Amino acid sequence: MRNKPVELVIAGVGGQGVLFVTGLLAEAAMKAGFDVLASETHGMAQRGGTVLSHLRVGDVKSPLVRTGSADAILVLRQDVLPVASVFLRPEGMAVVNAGRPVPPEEGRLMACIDAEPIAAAIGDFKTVNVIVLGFFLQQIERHPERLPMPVWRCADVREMLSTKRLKASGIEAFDRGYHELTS
Amino acid sequence: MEMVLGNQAIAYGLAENGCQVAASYPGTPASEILPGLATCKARFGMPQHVQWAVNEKVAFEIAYAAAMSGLRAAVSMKQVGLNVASDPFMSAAYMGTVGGFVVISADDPGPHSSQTEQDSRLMAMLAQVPVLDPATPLQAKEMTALAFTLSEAFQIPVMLRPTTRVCHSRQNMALAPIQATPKTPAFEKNPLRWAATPKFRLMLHRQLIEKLSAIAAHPATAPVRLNPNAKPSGDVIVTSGVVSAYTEDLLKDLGLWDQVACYQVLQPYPLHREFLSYLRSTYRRILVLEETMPVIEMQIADRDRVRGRLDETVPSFGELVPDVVESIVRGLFEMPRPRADRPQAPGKRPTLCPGCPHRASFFAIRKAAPKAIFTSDIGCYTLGLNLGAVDTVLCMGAAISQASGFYQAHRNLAKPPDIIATIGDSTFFHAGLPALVDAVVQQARFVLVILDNRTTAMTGNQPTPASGFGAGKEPLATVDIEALVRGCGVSYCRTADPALIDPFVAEIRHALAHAREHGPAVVIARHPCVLYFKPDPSERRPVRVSEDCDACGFCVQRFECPALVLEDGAERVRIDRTVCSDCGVCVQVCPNQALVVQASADLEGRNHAE
Repeated sequence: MRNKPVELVIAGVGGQGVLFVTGLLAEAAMKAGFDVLASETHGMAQRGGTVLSHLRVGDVKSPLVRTGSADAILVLRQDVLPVASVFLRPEGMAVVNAGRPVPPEEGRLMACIDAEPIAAAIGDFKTVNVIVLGFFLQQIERHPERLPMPVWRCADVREMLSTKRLKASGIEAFDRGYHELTS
Repeated sequence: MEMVLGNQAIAYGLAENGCQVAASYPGTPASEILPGLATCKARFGMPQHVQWAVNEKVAFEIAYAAAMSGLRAAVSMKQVGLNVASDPFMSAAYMGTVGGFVVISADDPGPHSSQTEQDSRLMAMLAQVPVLDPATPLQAKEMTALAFTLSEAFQIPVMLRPTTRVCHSRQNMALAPIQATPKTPAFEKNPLRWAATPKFRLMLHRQLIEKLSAIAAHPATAPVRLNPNAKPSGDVIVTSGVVSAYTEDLLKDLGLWDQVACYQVLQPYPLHREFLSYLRSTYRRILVLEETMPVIEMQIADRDRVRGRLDETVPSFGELVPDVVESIVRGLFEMPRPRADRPQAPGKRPTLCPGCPHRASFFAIRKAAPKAIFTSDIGCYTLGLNLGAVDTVLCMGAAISQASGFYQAHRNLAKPPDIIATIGDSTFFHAGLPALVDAVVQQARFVLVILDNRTTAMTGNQPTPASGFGAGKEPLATVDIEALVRGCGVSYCRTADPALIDPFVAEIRHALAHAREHGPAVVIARHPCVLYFKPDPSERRPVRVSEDCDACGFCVQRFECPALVLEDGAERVRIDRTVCSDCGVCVQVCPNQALVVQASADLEGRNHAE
């Protein structure tokens, strides 16, 4: 039996930078020596509609996550949570940008961050995606058992982020997400 | 190693295999192939010609002439683009090629961003050319080499048919530097072939059939056994394209990988003869999993053994995503599902971007003529249907011909309805021109609004013939839209900025008054795409919601900007700062003047300066 791959679904709406986050996690996984397949949404749906990315790391051929299989979902807007959570496995982890905490379903881990006030404090509303990404890295450090194997380290992803053409606010946003206090 | 998008992998494969001329018209999911070639050209200093063409037919014919001259050439498009290019495609199959000629037609099962789920492999069958069907970005890259050698070995165009999940997947792969070794073009005159009359066409057709027969035995493109170690049983799964990848992962997850033989068909048409007889003599049940039409399945004549779309084992429409493949496989092998299916939640519908000039255009059009028939076209502005100003969307260019048709259908009514057609700048160039000439000749009475945002926005902001630059940002000549409209014989053509809503409403009314009496009137709504031409910070007009807002919802329903939010039970509309572009257009929309531009220090200063 082969090792179970790590499977993520990243969800948001067009313009939020779902593809940016997916690309960053994919590249970081590749740099860590894994084989990676990711699937993106382009075209009409990108115009403000739901954008879903699938990311599979390990011994895989298919770029798509089956429903009920994802180890974790990253949700950049609460209203697309229902679309993304269909993909989450029963013991999976949901990392959600939400104004108010969302009650978890049994067995699942629900980690919420209110990214918009943080983005407002930074002065750049387009950094919500990177804030949630930082928070996701904090969560997988705290709950490593939720992923079948360790793939991402905060320092590596942060390093990768710093090579992208970003405003200075990008790294600040990532750090704030990573250091966000959770109960 | 780098993470490479399927389309970029195809582009790299083309460049690596010496493609010297490539042309395309953008269309999801094929749009990134040509820019990928432009990147290779710059990255490795290659002398290829890489261009966006005005439409797919023109792109095809440009690339084909290069292949006739002995060079390797490629044309790429989406599946409905091949409909536009089908005329040269069918004919080129007969005449064949000298240099390798690859026709890339990207299908969109789902459909995610298309009018149809049509299967380009059936178009290959109709044209009688071989088609290759890649499963992954890496395989798509490898198949470009296979396509070129197959094309040259049999002097025949070869189709490469990726689907959305191949085009828009990323996979890690190594891309080695490319050393360009360009060939010298040599067009050998042979009118009996290149300008064949019907009598010689019959001969060419006979030759084509002979080529196909040989290709059905060509070893390099024969089906591949994915799991040679599986125990022999009476069952086999025959797959192609990305469904092959889904099936492999699924069989491994279900513990069937060692139990059921699984094949990937690299070349769904023509299917290898030996493979067909092997299937017949070896297996009791043959499950065929392919997207989106039963192309392989139809070529297996023995109906009693085949499970697929024709006996409804496989759904006849929609994408064969891994979940669907799982239900099919579980059903066939009588494996119950361990958990109940969770219903798919509805997503958020697409909408025009905050700050999009089309939103202002549609708002004004509907205000000017609320009861008109609104024909529209293919592009971001199809989303004008959210604003109630799009009634029809058929195919590229149809807004104009359908407007003519609606006029002819209703012209004898006592009071014929107003008709307003909307078309984007790139679509106007692509297929609008012949329709406009026709409307002028027939004096069809409608207003045509050309939504000129200076780019091909929906597919990723490719240049138009009016842009003045090419696929690699190289400078090019431009064609002026006003001059073109006048050149079609239109006497009424005015240009206006839709962001100034009231004057734009007056423009539409004025054009309608002209059209009702004289024939087609054209208004060019010119305002740059907010995604591509980032507005200057000095043009920012941050808006706030004043106490005068009574939550009537007019702006949310009729202007439908994602930045205007009215939550249930809220006393006022809220501006979502995470998406607002500060275009300030919405202040012209509110019936209570409750949306106001925020007074800020630098705005004040700017107003003074004016």
